[in-house]
Amino acid sequence: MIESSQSSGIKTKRFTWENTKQFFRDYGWCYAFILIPLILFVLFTVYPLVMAFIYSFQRYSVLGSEWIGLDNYKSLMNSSVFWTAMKNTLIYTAATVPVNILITLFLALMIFPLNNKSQTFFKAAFYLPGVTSGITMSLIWLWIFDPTGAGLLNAIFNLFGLDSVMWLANPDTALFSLILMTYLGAHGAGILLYLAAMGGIPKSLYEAADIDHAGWWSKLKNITWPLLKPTTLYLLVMGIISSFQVFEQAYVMTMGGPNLATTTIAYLIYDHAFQSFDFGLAAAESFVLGFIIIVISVIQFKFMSTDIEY
Amino acid sequence: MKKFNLFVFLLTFILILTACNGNEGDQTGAGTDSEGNADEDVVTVWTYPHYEGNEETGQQSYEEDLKDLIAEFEAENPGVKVKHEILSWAEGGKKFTAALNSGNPPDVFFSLFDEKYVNTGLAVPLTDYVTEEDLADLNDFGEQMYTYEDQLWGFPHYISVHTWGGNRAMLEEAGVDVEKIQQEGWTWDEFYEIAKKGTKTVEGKEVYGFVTQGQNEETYTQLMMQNGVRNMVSEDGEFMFKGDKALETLSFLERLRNDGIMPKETGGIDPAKADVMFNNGQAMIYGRTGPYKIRENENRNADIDAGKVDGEKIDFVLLPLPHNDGEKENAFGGAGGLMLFKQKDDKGEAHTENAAKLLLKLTSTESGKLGATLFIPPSRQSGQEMYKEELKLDTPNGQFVQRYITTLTPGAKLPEAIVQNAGKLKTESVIPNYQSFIIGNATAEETVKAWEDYAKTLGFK
Amino acid sequence: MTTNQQQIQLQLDEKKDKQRNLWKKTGLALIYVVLIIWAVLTFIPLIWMFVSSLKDSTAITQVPPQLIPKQPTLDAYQRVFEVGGFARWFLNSLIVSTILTISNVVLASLAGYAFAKLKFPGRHTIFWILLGSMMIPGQITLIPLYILIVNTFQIADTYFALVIPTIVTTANIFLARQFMASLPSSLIDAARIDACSEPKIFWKVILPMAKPGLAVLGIFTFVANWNSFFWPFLVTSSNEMRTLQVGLTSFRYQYTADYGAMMAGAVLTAIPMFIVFLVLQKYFLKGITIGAVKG
Repeated sequence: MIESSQSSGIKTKRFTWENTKQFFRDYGWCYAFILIPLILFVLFTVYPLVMAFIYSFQRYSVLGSEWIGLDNYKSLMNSSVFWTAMKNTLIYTAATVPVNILITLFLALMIFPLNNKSQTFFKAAFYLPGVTSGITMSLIWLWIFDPTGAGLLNAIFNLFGLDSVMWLANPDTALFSLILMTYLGAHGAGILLYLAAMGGIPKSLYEAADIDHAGWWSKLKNITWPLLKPTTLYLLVMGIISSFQVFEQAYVMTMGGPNLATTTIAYLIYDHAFQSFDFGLAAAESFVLGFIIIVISVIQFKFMSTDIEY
Repeated sequence: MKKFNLFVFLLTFILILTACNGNEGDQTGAGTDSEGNADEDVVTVWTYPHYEGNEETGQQSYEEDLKDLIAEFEAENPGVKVKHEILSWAEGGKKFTAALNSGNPPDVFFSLFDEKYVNTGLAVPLTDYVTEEDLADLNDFGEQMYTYEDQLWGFPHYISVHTWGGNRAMLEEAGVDVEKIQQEGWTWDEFYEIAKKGTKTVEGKEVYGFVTQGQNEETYTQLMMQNGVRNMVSEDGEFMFKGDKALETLSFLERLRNDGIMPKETGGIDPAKADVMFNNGQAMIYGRTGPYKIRENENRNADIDAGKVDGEKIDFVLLPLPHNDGEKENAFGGAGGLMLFKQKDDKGEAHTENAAKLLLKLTSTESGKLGATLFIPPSRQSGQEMYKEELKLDTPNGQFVQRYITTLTPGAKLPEAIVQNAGKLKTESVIPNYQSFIIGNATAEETVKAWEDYAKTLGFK
Repeated sequence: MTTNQQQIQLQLDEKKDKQRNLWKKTGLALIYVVLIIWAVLTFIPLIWMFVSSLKDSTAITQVPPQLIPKQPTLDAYQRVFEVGGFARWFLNSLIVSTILTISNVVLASLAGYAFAKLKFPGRHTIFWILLGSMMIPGQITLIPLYILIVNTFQIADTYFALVIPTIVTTANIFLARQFMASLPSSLIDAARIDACSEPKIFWKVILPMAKPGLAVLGIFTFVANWNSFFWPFLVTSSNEMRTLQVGLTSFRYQYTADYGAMMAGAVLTAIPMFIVFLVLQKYFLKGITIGAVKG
């Protein structure tokens, strides 16, 4: 009914009572399903966003901001620190997101064929490290990365006769350290999603493939991977968003240093907004960052979005 | 399906149950409740947990002492109700920033002086509310710290001063006359020789003559003050971390690091780590610290006696920062106190006056307890009198603090036009390049050159 | 075919089977080895957190690090319980996280279903606007949001302020849409032919199939809100309204931090999430098989 109704609802240009009634009969439930989220969205997301967008053309002041046109955007384009932060953010994203998705998929593929008990065990084992808050995790990793022999990584290095490394204090290794942290971090959330999606793949598809004597790789390539695309897309887009906006580690562990090596865009935004009270500049930076993420996301949707019908 | 429904039902049930509990709790927790009569004026104060309670000594926590002062104030000022909030040290500033820039700051807030607050237009000068006696009682440096554009913007609780600290047993083993240094100071060369003697390996454990944090430029900045340079940027817009002075100071630090007197990992040491290394006997001298460490150290020693903490007791001594030959000691410090604010939606003159009264009550002579408990000099002469026993003015450490605060000088109060660029210079060049320097990626010369170049691009002389 | 030949054939088959079994077994063993090593690696921070919570303050910073405390002590836990209001903060976190988990599961699944399976004018536009809003970092919308909640609605320091901005998040709608998209449309079409109403289709057809996804969504939401710090910190002011994460920051002092107590607090904070995980985990496996057969 939904598909067939296209002709009646919108194509007619005249708004008659009959048309409106028909429109609601056809789509009423669709809008009802998204009504509450939309209202909340407009109030608590759109409104603040619009305000922030306005700030980006102003010199913000709580008692009355001053319009300065595109000055905020111009000054960030001319700021070398902004571009350093952009470079750091891009490196961080490129180094973390694809690798972590592969690690997640790899672990999920290994867990999936196990029996229920082992599955539950490993799901718990991979998920639980993710339940501790980011601040606590950052504090623990600070200890792991301790520059003296008191840190775990250096203690291991010393054990093998290697010199201690100043992980977070050296501009050459600081960003890498933050990246390493994500590799060994919790992939549990992604694993759960992948396993849920794998469980949803009809067994009949694999049985059919077995009849054709398809190998493990060919099943993965032709059945599993395509059917996991919606999950992969979700992980990819969310991964891009969160790594482009990475802040907490830089804030708790390195304060953006040393020598700006871990200054990410989100850290810069925080610094400008909360340290310098320059909310206009911070807003401009936010929208430039947002624009970049949107462009990348659209590309991802183009490549990954196949509405699966089977 | 049924089980899932059951689970949702269960959750909902727990929820309703706890929500009921919650409401009850709300009503009983009336201490800080804002509900009151319509004609009552509610004044808000945000501050921090300055000190903890201690069961063994019967010491009240700061919040309990604050509540006592508030109760007194409310009794003296019927019709005024005080709402207080104790923020967390880690994140409190951010919360205030959000509130201030939303136009809804608390009326009274604990903060060091900050030009940015005044520039929002929501800070209210205390000048009209403070009495002659108050000003006469206030320590001059404390008054200067809160003075900006000829107005007084806050009233300090205490005068804080940054010092270095030492382990007396280790210092005496190295043949040092601690009291002499406390009273007369020491030069960079004298310090170097002493610290060198303190650097050794004991039972396979590295002991350093000196440990300091290297995450930002603080130690350097404070050593620059002992080399005749008070500010990074002067009030007329001149960049001061340049030329021979800057080079001398960096070279001094470089020498300490290269000779192994301070750890080569200094770049990765944060203030907490430096403190821990000192407590663990891995450092003879460390800094910065401050008089507050005396109280902390006493508690630690007591905990060791009580068997609560594992470790060696330490006889802690405060030390001045060494100065370059031919330059004067110049202590770095600040004043911590309360600032007065109004809201964007102004609540009127009567409300501001009540808030100002509260502010002065909370910084009255009695409140000197805050400083005294932390072993920081109270900002009022009368407060120092009242708590002289807690401040142990007759001990060498107490006398040192008294002497050392006389060398404090207020830093430059930058005009609005250059304040933002000065901040930029610090976060975008001075700190980052110092970080490269301290881990050995850049020489002293390269560092100073990088600073000078960046300062030029920002238009500093 | 003679019996002899048949026997040879059988023997051959058996051999092949044995070989295949051997392969399977070694493969499985390998999988276990890799998974266990990886799990241990990811568990190190958790172990350290637990171990640190049992140490006194000096043992935490020893060189080389002490992996097993010499004198384990529960002092840190005692300090956590002694600080005023632990039970209350715990309760607040539970209330807030539970409300938000339920509201997000219900609202996001409905909206996600609509975006994934229903065709209506504007669905792409609306979805992209929703998605796009996530791309702007939250730090910059914080001030307008704060003005809205605290100055305009004047609901600071209430449960309402704690939950309202995240009653249903865009990320959850996106997640729900993604797993709804992989459900077979044929069942929905079949239900439509049977003249089921849309809510009935959702309840009878979609919900049973989407259970594993919803369980995941639920646990994500619970954990995220249980750990959320900054918003609760901004909008609460009385001790009675604080959540666990906000309360636990009181172990970070001006010059030092009580690491033992912080770690003990983190351990205690993690326990409810273990429980939620164990309660929900059985739904991670079941469910989708219903739909698969008819496909």
